[in-house]
Amino acid sequence: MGIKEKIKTNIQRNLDQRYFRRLLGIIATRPVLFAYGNTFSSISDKYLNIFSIESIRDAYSGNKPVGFGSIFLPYEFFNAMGVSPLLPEVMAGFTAGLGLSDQTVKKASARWYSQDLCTFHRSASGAVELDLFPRPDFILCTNLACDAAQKSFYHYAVNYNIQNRYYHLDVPYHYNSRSLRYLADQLEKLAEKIGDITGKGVDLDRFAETIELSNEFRKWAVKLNNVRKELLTYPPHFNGLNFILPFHAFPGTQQAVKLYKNIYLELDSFLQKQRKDPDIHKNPPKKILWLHLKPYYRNEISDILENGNCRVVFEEINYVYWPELDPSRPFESLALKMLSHPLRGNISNRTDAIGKMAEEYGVDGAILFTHWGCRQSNGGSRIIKDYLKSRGVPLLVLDGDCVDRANSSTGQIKTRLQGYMEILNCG
Amino acid sequence: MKNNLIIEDFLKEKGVQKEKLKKIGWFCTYTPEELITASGFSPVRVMGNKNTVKSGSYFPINFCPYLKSAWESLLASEDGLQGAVFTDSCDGMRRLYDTAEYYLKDLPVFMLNVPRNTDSRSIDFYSSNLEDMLVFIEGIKGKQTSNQDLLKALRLHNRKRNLLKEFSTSFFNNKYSLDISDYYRVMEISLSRTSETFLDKLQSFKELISKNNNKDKTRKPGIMIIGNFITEQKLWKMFTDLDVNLVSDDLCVSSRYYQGPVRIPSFMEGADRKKILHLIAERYLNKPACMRMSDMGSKISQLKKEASDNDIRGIIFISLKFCDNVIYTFPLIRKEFAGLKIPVLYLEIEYSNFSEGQSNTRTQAFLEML
Ligand code: SF4
Ligand code: SF4
Repeated sequence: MGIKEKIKTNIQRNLDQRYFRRLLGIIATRPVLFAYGNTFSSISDKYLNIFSIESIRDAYSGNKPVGFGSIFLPYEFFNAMGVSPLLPEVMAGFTAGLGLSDQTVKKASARWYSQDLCTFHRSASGAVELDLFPRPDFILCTNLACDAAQKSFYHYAVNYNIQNRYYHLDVPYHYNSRSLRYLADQLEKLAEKIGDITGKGVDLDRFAETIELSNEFRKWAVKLNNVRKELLTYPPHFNGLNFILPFHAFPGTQQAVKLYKNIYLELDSFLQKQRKDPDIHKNPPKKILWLHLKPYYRNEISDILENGNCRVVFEEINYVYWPELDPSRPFESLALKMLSHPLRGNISNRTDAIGKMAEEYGVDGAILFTHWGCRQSNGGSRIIKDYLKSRGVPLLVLDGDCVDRANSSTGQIKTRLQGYMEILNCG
Repeated sequence: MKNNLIIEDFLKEKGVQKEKLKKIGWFCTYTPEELITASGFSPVRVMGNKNTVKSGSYFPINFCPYLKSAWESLLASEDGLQGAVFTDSCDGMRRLYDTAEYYLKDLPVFMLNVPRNTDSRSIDFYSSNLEDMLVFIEGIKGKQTSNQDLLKALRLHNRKRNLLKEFSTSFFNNKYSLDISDYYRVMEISLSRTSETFLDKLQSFKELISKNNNKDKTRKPGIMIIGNFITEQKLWKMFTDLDVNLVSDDLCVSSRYYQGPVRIPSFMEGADRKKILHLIAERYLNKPACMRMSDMGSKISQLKKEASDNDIRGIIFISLKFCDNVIYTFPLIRKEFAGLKIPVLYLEIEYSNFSEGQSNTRTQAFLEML
């Protein structure tokens, strides 16, 4: 059994917050992380894993205030406030990867969370009930993208008995100067409240530095995404859907800059090699755009695609949707970032973005993974399908569950993927 | 007394039909009907067509059944609407709006952004969103709505709320010869009728069904129903047959619709449009909250107060399937009321059908336990 499998098995056997803390304390030390990093087959995977572990270790360490945050928040806010963020939905993805979601989901069911709810939230709720996460100093969520967070996060607040430190950022449906002001005001007031909780107040210089770092990260993310417009050969095990934590929670940190710069350099070197490889054009893979998320437990999707000579060339979640931010106007900038999100408001925001991605990446097809319980995404699948069809891009709607393996039919996914690839490869 | 025929006949809004008012549809109790009425339209709650045939190819199977039904009727232009005002109440509603906008090119649609917080900033923001809604309706009408018309509509809707509140209070206090099915039938009808003629009829109807013997001392333990848009007649009939002693509710079809008037100060005649819209915004963000609002703590406190004021012994929590906002609230409600030793029964229904046998057995067992 390799080191990663050993860690996994130990975690499954010791489902306990103290054990996690101890384990993180050991594996997140420099020498161990260095040795652990060497077990990864690519630079991008190595940095992704090391920085993710460090981020989670910080949240568990008790050295800094911890804030629970929902996925679609601008994490520059946490980073500028000196708070360690913990993202329960992302942790739910990790629990799936570690083979723990059977237990977290079961716990949630025992506490009356319906099976019809999104399992990112259901599993995270189970983890909170099992006391697997560090205790938060405050809880912040938003209705951007979906309704789920503002409900499940309130439950967490009740669980930790901190209802008075549960905050909700109300993101307007429309984007105009009025809604920008409305949201920026909320962020500013919120900063004051969090500043009181941390006892450090609001440091506008730190906000400016954080936003500069965020812009720097954005620059590398854009460069990386540009490389991918041509790239067909990737480092082994590269999966853009694994970057959900750094893409959301790291902006405004040195790690984000370092990680994205390194991935860019690695993928660019692959591109240079690819350009010199005449064979690549003999039987080029069909290019796929991946919409929404993927299963985070072990699954065969990538292998099936690869065997059918298909390559996911871009993922919706890695799209840089916001403009460069203004460090001298932090709250307005972060409000602008939130309002620029394609999952805000009308579905045309999302289809416009998808249309751009389909065009820029010259895709042959797109796959929308309809995660059970995700009303906002699945409810728009017919429109997305018709929209892409009008642009000559066939869409496969693939039903499944990102977190709960028991709620996904492996056989059906395989059959549908194979059928779809046949159509693509014949076309 | 069986009131079905009387209700249907008595509450038919002949006046409105004669005036041939054009209709604007709405879908959520956060839609200020006042603005529709003031602009000379009849606000109509889109009830949906429960026989969903085409909706299945537009929405996934695990999608709010009310929204699917609403789409079925929009697609077939069943309500003869001149326009429709949607709200961003939930993820599903956002997608219903998108679907209407994408596929129904001839129907003018508007999305009203309703904040989830209720502080003064949110009220100001909501009130500017109301201005946009009014402009949308004026666009259909082709004419500006005067401040006088707005004030008149405010008063008319306040009168309706008062009447419905009196009607409900009397019903819950067992002062009417009216069963649960009939009560909710009246509430359902009221969602799409607002004219003076209708309100006068409702007033007379109240008098007609009043009975002299008030409280029946032998009545069973008081029950409160909490849920979303429940309009299932078979369910209401089941409760009637089981002789459920319903003393309070928190539903979109009832209390969350009529509770809380617009507070109109005495000197309003010279008031400008902004001020009027602000009053409306205050009312809507302060009315008994739907589970889609962010402050669940206040919602739970309001429900607890309601339960204690009415000596509630049991709660029946009913949700339409796949309504995240409501389903997420259940574990909390169960926990909070367990602390008060008030048991909660959970029923889940489709909009158009529910497993009658199972619900009946579970409800019966629940009632026996109380
Ligand atoms: S999968 Fe959908 S419902 Fe779940 S957290 Fe993400 S956006 Fe929300
Ligand atoms: S019942 Fe729930 S899901 Fe359906 S429209 Fe109402 S709030 Fe949305």
